[in-house]
Amino acid sequence: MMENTLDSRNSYPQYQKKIIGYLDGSLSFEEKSEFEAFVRTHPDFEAQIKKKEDEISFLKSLIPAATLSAQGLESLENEMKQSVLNLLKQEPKNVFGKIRNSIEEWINR
Amino acid sequence: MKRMDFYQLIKPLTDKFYRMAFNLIPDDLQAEQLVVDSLNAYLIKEKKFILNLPEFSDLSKKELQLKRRQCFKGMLKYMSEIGVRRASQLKGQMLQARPAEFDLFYKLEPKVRLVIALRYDFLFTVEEIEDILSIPRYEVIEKIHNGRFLLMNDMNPGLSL
Repeated sequence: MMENTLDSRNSYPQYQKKIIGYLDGSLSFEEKSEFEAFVRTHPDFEAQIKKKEDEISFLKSLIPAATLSAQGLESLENEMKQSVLNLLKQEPKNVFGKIRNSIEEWINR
Repeated sequence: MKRMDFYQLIKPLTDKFYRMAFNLIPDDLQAEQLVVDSLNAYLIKEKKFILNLPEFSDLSKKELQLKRRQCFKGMLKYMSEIGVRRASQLKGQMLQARPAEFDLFYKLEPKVRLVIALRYDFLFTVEEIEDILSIPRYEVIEKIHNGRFLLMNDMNPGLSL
């Protein structure tokens, strides 16, 4: 029994390193399952995850989550669209290419 | 990929681009300008890559999400370069503009702010941040640690991390 407790305590650092990866979803499927199995059998470890989770939400609350108004968003999207249309223009290889570009520009106006 | 398809690919990211830009420069117009300038830089530098992307219709939903994320990271690369420089230049002007409730965040150096936002707002991994900012991993970790320390300690003096 005591040996078991010591064994699991020894594996704590290994799983502690994985807390952030677990919270941000960057662990692989196998790693995630292994991590969850460990947490299920070690309730005290769950408290550490909760602490980390709270820390992340607290830090997130200190970062502004700026949003645009519907009008602002539309105007920015239009500017982005113009940039894409202007800067991704392919030089027409022949007269058909020129016609295609003109039609595309007319449609996207 | 066709031009309009590429636009459709990045369109849902507009608010995220703006949010990131505002984290760097807390001014509506400046943030919008930063989004457009970063997009322009990305389009000019990565034109070949973008035009060689597979056709929209050939991509599965999952592939589409992966490509969108790839483009998001690609554009953030340019936004971080331009934004950090611009945030330092506009530091004086932005003192009045920054929202008072996020004063602590805007007191951080622009690059630390950027790393903290990438890590805790956009939930990028250290490896991804390393890739976006093209800086060594130890520098990313150092900036995360410093930023977190300053934010947590100023909010809760005496708190140990």
